[in-house]
Amino acid sequence: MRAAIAIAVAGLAGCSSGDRSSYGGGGVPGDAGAADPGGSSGCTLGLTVQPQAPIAGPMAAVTATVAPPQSSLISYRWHVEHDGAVISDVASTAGAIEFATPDPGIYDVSVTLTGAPAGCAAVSAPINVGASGARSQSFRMRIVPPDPTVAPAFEKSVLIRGGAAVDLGVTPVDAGMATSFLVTAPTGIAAYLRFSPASVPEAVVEGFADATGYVAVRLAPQLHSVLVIPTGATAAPRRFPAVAPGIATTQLLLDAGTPIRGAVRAPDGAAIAGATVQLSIDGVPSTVATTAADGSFTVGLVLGGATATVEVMPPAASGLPRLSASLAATALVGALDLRYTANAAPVALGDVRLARAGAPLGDARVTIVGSLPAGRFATDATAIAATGTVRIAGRTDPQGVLAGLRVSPGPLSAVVVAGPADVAVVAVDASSGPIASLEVPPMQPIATAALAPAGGAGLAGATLDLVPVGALAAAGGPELHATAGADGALSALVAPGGHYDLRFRDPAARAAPLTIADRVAASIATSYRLPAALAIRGTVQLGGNQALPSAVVQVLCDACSGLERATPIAEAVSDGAGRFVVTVPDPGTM
Amino acid sequence: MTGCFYIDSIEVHPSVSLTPPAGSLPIYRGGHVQVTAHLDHPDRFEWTAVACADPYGQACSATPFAQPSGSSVADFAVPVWVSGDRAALTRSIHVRVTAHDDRGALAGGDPSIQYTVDDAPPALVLASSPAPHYTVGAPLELFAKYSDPDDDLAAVSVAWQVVAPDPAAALAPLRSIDGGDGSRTQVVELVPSVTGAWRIQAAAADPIGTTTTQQLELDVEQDHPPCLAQWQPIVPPEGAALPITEPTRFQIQRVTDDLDAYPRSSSDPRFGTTTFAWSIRAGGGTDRQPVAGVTGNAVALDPAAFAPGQIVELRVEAFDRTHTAISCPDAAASCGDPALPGCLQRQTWRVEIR
Repeated sequence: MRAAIAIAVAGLAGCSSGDRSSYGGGGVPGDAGAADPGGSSGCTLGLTVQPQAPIAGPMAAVTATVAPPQSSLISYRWHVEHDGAVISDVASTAGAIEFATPDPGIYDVSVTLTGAPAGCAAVSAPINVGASGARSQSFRMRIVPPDPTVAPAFEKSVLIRGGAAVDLGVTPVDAGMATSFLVTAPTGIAAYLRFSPASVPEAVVEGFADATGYVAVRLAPQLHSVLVIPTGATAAPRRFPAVAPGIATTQLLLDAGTPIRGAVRAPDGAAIAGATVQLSIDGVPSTVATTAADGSFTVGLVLGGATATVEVMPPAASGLPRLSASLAATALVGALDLRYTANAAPVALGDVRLARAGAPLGDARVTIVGSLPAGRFATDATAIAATGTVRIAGRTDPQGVLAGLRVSPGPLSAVVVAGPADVAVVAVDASSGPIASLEVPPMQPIATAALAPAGGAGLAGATLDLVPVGALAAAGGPELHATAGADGALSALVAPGGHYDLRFRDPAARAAPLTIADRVAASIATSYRLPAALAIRGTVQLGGNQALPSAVVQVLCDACSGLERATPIAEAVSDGAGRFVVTVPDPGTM
Repeated sequence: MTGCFYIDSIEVHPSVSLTPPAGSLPIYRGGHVQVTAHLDHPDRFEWTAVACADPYGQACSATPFAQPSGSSVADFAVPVWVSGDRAALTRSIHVRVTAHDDRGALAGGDPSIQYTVDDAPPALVLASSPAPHYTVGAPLELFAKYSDPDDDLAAVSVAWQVVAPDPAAALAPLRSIDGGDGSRTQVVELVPSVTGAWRIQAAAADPIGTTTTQQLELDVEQDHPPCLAQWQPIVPPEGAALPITEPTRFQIQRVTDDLDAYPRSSSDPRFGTTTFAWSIRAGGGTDRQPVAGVTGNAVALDPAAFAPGQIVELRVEAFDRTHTAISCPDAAASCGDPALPGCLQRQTWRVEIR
C-alpha cells in the first residue's frame, strides 16, 4: 500500500527554524498548500495525493482525494491546472480525481463541494510533480518581514529538485517574542547588540541599546548567542552564548575584560607611536588602543575561545603595511611584542614617471596594494609570523610623476586610475630600489556573449557586471556593466591586469544568474551559457495563518562561505496575499 | 309616531382597477415591474401574470409565471423566456387581478393590464486594478464586467474609449474571464501618458444595438521617487556607530516604486529596477567618494581596508528612471521628498571598524 500525505486546512504544522524541507520531488508541499475560506472555522478538509512523490511520465497519473471522506450526498467540482492550462474541470459525485501528469511541474488542484457542511465547501492545493532523474540542490531561504517589530528574520534550508517548477507551500514565520535587555558595565551603557539564533545563526537580529543600556527587540523563541559591542573603551565587547528571550528584562553585564598589554616596534626596534591595535577572539573584538610614544598599548579583551587575531594599523606616514596574524587564544600569555621584520622596512619609490605610449599620465590616482610577510608577533608562549597588507595611495602630478611614496619592498600591484573609465593594474616591486617609470597600458576590450540555457541563442538584454576582485578591489577599482544586444553579445573595456568576477543576469528571467569567479581579460570566454531557470513559488504567513505581504524572500547559497554566502542568488517580495515567486538555477536532471 | 327601521347591510359589489407603474417604463426582460391594484370591497383577491411571445398578448403562456397574493402592490420579475423550454422570448406580459366577495361576486372594472416588454440592455460595471495611485507610464488594468439577461454573452460586444485627456491613447485587450454567474469580464490595459483625471468609457452592446455605457475616472499622478523600504544591516541611531568585525554586505533589500522597484517587480520590459549610488567617507574627512561603478543594491565593506576604530560613513541613494535629484544637504544622513512622508531616498550608515 502506498503512503499518502494529507494537508489540513486548519491547524497546519509549522516548520521550526532550521528545518530542512525537500521540494520538487513531488507531492503536496509538506507544510502547506490548501486554502479554504472555512479554515478559520476549524474545518479540517484537505486533499491526499497518491503517489506521495509523483514523477512525470507518459503513463503517469496522480489521484487526489478529499479528506476526510465525505458523504455520498455531496457533489464535487474538480478543477486542475498546469502551466496556466486547464487539465480537467469536471463535475463528479466522486471525492477523488485522477489526472495524467505527463509533464513535471506544479499541478493546481481545487475542488468545490456542494452539500458539504459550512466551512468545508472548497479546498485547493498545489501538487508538485517531479521530473524523472532530477538532481537536487540545497539552498537557504531567508524571509525578512517588512518590520522587525512584527517578526524576526527567518531562515530555513530547502532541498530543491531540478527539472520542474516547485511550490514550496506555506512558509510560516514565527512572530517571535518581544524581549528587552539592559546592558550594564556596571551601570547602563550604550551598545550594539547582534542576536544569532542557535538553529540558524545567520538569521541575525540587531539592536542598539540607548545610553541607559536599554534595548527592545523581537526574537525567535529559542536560545540566542548575543554579541554586545559597547560604545567607547570603558568596557570590552563580550559574547553571551545562550540567552533565552523572556518576559522580564535580561541584564547583560559587561566589564573591562582582561588587559592585554604590549608594544609595537619598527624593524630597527624603534617604538611606533600612533598605531591602532585591536585583538579579537572568535569574532569578539577587544577595545581599540592607540600606541603611546613608547609604542605601548593596552586593550581590554574577554578571554576564552579558540583563535585570537591581532591587527595593527601603523600611521600612514610610516609607509609600513598593516599587520595581521592569527594565533591560539591560549597563547595570549604575558606581554605582546609586535615587531615589523626587516623586509617590511619601507623604501622610497623615488620619482616614478607614469606614461602610456610615451605620453605622461598626469593627475592619475595610484594605489599600491598587496600582501607580504612583514612582521612577527610574540608572547611569552609563542611567536608567529604576521602578514603585512600594503595599501598606499598617491597621485601623479601634471607631468605624470608620482613622488614621495614609501612602500615595503616586494611584489605588489599599482592600480592606476587615470579617469573614470581608465584603469590599469601594473606590477611594482621596490626590492631593487627606486622605480624610475611605469608603463600603464590602456583599457583592454573584451567580447563575450550571454547564451540561453538551451539552443545556444543569444540572450538579448542580459546584463553583465564585472566586479573587481584582488588588487583591483583592494584599491577601489570601478565595477563595470554591459548589456547584451539582440544577439546576446556583450562588450566592455576592462582594466588590463585586473581581475573580475563576472556576474550575468537576465532581467527577463529566461535564465538563472551565473557567476564566473576571478577572470582577467585573457581568460574571459567568448560566450557563457546561463543556467536554466527554475521558478520557485510559495506563500509566507505570519504564524502560519496570516498572509505576510511585503516580506523580502531571499534564496541564498548553502555551500558558500564568506560574503558569497550573504549574497542572494534570487530575491523577491511577497504580494498582498503573501505569495512570492523567485527564479533560481535549475539543478537539472540526470 | 316614532319608530325604528331595521335593515340588513347591503353587500357592495367589489371592484378593482390597476395602475400602471409610474416612471418604471420601459419594462425589460429580466427586469422588474411593480403594479398597484386599487381594490374596493373585495373579500379576497389574487394576481396572475403570464408571459406572451407577442406584444399584443395574443400568444401567451398558459402557465402563469407569478401568482402573488395578499398585497395590493405586486412586484414581478419579468421572465426572459415565455416558458421553460426557452422557445420564445417574452415580448409582453399580461397581469390580472381577480377579486371576489364571500358570496362569489367577481370584481367589476378593468382587472388586467398588458405591458410591452423590451429587449434588456446589457448590465455593465467598470473597475480598475486596485492601487494607492496611478502613475504615468505604469500599465494598469481596467475591467468591464458585463452580463445580459436576454442575449448570448458571446453576441455582446464591449467598446472601450479614452474620453480624456488623451483620446488617442490605446487600450490594449488583455483577456476575457467567464464569471461563472452569467457574467463575463473583459480586461484591457492602459498606460497613462500624462497626469490628471483620466476618463475611460466602455459601451456594452447587444446584437440589436441596445447599449449600456459607463465611465470610470482615474487620477493619474507623476512618477514619484523610489522609497527605501528595507535594508541590512541596521542603521545606527544618531550619534552611534555600527561596529563591523568582518566583511559585511550592506544591502538595500526592498525599494518601493511604481515602475522601478527593487527587487524588480516584473519581467515586463516596461518595468525596470532601482539604480543605486553608493558613496563612502572615511577618516572623518569631508570628501565623500563614490563607490566606483556600483549601481546595484549592495556594497561589501571589508574592515581590513581600514584602521581599527576608524569611523566610515557609507551612503546609498536610490533613483528610478526619472532620476529625481535629492535636495537635502550632504550633512543629512537620510533624506526623502517632503511631499512623501516616510519615503527615504537616502540612507547613511555610520560604521565603526572593529
